[in-house]
Amino acid sequence: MGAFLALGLFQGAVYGLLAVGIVLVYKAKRVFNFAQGEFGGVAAFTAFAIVVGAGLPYWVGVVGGLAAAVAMGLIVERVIVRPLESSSRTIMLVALVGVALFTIAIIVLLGQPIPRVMPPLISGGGVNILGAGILPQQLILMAVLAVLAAAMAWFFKTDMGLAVLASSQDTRAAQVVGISPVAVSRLVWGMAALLGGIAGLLYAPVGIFTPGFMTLTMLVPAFAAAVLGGMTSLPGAFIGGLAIGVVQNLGIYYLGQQLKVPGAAELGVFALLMLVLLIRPQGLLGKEA
Amino acid sequence: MRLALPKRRRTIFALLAGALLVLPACGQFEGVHDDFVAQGGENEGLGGSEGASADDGATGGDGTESTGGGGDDASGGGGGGGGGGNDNGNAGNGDTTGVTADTITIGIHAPLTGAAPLKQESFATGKDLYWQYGNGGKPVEIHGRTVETVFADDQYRPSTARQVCQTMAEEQQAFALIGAGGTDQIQACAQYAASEDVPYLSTGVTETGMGSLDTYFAASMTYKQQTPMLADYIKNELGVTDASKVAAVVTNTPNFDDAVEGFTGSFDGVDVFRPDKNERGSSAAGNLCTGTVKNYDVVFVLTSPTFYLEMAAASGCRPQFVGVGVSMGIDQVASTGCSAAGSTEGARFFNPTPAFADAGEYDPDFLAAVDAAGIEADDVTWMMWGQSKVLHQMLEQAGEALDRGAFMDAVAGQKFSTGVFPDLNYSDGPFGATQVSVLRNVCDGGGHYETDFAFVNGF
Repeated sequence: MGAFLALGLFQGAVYGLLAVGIVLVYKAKRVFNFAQGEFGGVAAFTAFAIVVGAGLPYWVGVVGGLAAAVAMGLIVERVIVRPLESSSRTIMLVALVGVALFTIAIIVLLGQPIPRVMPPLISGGGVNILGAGILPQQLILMAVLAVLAAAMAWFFKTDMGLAVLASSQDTRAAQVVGISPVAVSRLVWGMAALLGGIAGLLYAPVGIFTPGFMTLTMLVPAFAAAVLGGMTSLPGAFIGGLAIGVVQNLGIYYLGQQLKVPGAAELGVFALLMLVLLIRPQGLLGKEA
Repeated sequence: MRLALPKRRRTIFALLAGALLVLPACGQFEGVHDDFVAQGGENEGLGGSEGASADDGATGGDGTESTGGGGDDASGGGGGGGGGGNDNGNAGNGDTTGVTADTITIGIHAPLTGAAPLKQESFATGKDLYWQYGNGGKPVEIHGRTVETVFADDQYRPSTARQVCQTMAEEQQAFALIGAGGTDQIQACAQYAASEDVPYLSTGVTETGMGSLDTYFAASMTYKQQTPMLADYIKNELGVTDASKVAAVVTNTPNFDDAVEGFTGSFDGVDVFRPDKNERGSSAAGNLCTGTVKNYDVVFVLTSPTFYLEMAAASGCRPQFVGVGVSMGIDQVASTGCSAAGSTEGARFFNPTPAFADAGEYDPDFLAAVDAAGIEADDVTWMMWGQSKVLHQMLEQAGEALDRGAFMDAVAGQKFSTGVFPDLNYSDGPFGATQVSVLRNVCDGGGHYETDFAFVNGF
């Protein structure tokens, strides 16, 4: 059981990292960003092409991957988000789902839909944590998540962070006091893409990655984590991610393996979400921005 | 400053966003992949086979086991021809769909997209290699006819598999269908084929719902047949007889129940884990290891390739993986597993054919054909080659006056031997294979499989 708990925590760290990006965009723009996972996908595939394909140093791959993710974020902001800013949320949501699917299709076209392995940042054997063999890469991931969640929480206390919040609450009023909505929009999407890129780069070397791996396997749990955390709370997203990962894996262990219940992981997450939202509809740490 | 866009521009952007959704969907959803089927567009026999069909059927009445009647099923109106036996004494039914004076059309389905896709290039070259170059570098002829193929991507979905099989059999006039991979898809297509009396051939997968299908033939051992042999292999070749040191990780689908029964029936007391299809392989690793200490010496795996690779990569204790999967593209899986810190090194899998790396040893004609075609071959090409050889022998056996009834009559109860796939004997039903080859994952040289045992029927 301990191994499942540990595996859940480290799997949850990825959900948390994606969830922090989702919450950042939602907090600033009130948009559900379904393209968040693909920022990570683009970063991972770009880094793979640089490190494994071109044989360049790892740091070049990391920088290249993050640059590709941020570039994608800025392009999405300019080409999709900004023109649709005054449209309904439904249109925006559908457009962002389209961005994710389009990106996956492009990755499939450029590379085969085959599994790939990204070398880890630090290689080495697993560390025994509660019976699970946790790789150094997973420890890095957890540490980065904690640092980023704290940094993001701090960011919203800075002038720039307050500008983002002000812009999300009333764009016109923010503009009157000199806050550029365009600059804020670029900043938010660039940061969200950077967070997604970091998640992709840290997660890809943990196992196997295929086109769409972040969207198809990580995005839904990450959204659940964001909702669990309160949708507007960055620390809440962090905690929500960990909680989802743990509940998924304990669900597999208790419901799936002990009680032979099919769909145990999803059932566990669903039960947790329902429970939290019934008791605390605003989420674990949620409040109005 | 005005931030909002004019309504017209918003509409344009909304339409663009919609287009973004639709464009990537090409290649992802049902029906769209009929385009793949159209890759067989060079098939000159399509639509032109009916006249010949009727004639052939009508002249096929000299056999001794005539079942008479027939002809109604000959799609495209060939029909009416008289059933009866053919020149080889096989009982025909007059259904000559896909057969002309010069060609026989075969339909193949496999997943090129979806959860467990295969390399498109491998299929593009592999599906025709035997038929175009299998006769000393020239096209194979079967009673004066060459074979043409049409292909469809089943997207690793049973519903799509059924749909594309129907399209190939009815619209593209495929005489017979071949399933190249994916248990659920093979089952779905086989059931469709049986309902329409279309011959269907695949590698052996589940026996659930397949044994009673009149038109189905497994070209290799089924999972249920292989798992008792695997249990013997673990005991006698790997030397692990303690059941507490053996685990089975088998995806929780009813189609794998018979495999689990076969395994646990021969290896009582092993721990069985049945992860759901959408679970991650890394979670399963929690069962296999305590830190870097093995909980089990041997782990029998019957899951998707991605699940297996994730599980292997996350299992720091490196247990011995074994399996009976017939996943085409196994060298790709080996290569990926090896690049994940050698996590699949030494894994042993039962396979219909010897390893691709040893193909020249078992069938030199294969390498000659590859040279003649000027292509880059892999294990997918090799597997397709073997399956085509099996079908070739079946078509030869069916005789010159070929129809679907004659084909099935010719195959049932017969023996076939290709030297690439296992020897087949359909005297007791559609699961006629009795041999497997055992392949070992070797990481030296980029990750591939090598042959440990070829065509064995017991351990």
